[in-house]
Amino acid sequence: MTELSKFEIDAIAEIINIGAGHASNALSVMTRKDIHMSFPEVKLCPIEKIPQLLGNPEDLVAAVYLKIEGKSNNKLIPVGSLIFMLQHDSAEELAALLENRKPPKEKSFELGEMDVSALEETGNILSGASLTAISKVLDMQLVESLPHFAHDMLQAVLSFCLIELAPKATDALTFTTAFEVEGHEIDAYFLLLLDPESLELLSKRLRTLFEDMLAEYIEEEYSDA
Amino acid sequence: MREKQAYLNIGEGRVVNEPTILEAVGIGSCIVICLYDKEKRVAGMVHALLGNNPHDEKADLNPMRFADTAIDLLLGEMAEKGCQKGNIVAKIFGGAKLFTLEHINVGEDNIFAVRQKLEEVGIPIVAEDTGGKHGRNIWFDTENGKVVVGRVFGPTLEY
Repeated sequence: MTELSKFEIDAIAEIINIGAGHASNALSVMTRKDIHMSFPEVKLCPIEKIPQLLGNPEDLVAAVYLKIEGKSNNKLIPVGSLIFMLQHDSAEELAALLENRKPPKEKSFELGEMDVSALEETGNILSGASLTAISKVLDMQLVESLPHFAHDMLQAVLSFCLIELAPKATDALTFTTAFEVEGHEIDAYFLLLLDPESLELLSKRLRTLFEDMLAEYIEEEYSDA
Repeated sequence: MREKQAYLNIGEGRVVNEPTILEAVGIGSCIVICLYDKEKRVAGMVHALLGNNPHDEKADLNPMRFADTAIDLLLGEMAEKGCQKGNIVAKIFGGAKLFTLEHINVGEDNIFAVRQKLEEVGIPIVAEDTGGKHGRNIWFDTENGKVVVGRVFGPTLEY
């Protein structure tokens, strides 16, 4: 994998933060609640250990997975994976909030069909909102797959999201954003995994953007003088 | 006496020659291969993510991540511990398809790759609990070669 400097990693985290901010606004509109969002946590993590970043392997979770590809010269190239994940209790509560009803009093291990489609749709909207920032910096149109839904043990669910990276790299850069919904016990996570090639492209674009901006800034000083 | 216990994360494999519970949890499309020589009571288990190693020399990937190279490593270590290949049997677990709308079925590919590899090295599969839509937890008791499979949705079974 390409080695990225701290400067580049911070810049990428900032782009993801802007995207997550838009996703958080979308979630706020959908739930009519205030959303608290953490700054993306960036970790270089062995592929095998990625599921454990979000909880215990056996936790019952609901997750929406979207594969992201980019359009380059009329070809689709892999960009990464986006995972929207909630612990089961949070998923139940968020689904109730989205459907404008009270969460069930009795705890269950099931999610209804309505709940699943509400969560799928949420994952879809949030990813759309969050990807615009990356798309802009990459100067590339991004195409998301349909949302894939799973409800099972955390590691069983998240291991599927590793299969794109597993044959290519030992470690991956992970970006994790946590959301909290005010007044509700809802903790949601957004995990972005970028393909090694798209990470390289992103850092290249950042350098160009930074150099252009720097040149423009200095030029301004000369023209002022 | 309480048996020893060892937890295997994704991409980890282990060979033991003393009574141990080898445990792996949250198996979705991943595949767990349990190898057992009942003569020598030597056991091997791996929690693999994918079926086939791409053998990318540049990337230098963990061989236990892939079922094919993991099986070779386990068999090698079992041979060092005195196992005869003819006495070793296999039990395989996992390879489920958890996600809706999955365009590629990784679980199925994994099961296929493991079957192919075990046939190639001449190890018979004597039991399996594979496929389906849900995750599994695996406990392999190397004292007697029995495997208990638990899950969130569905019964706990012994193989």
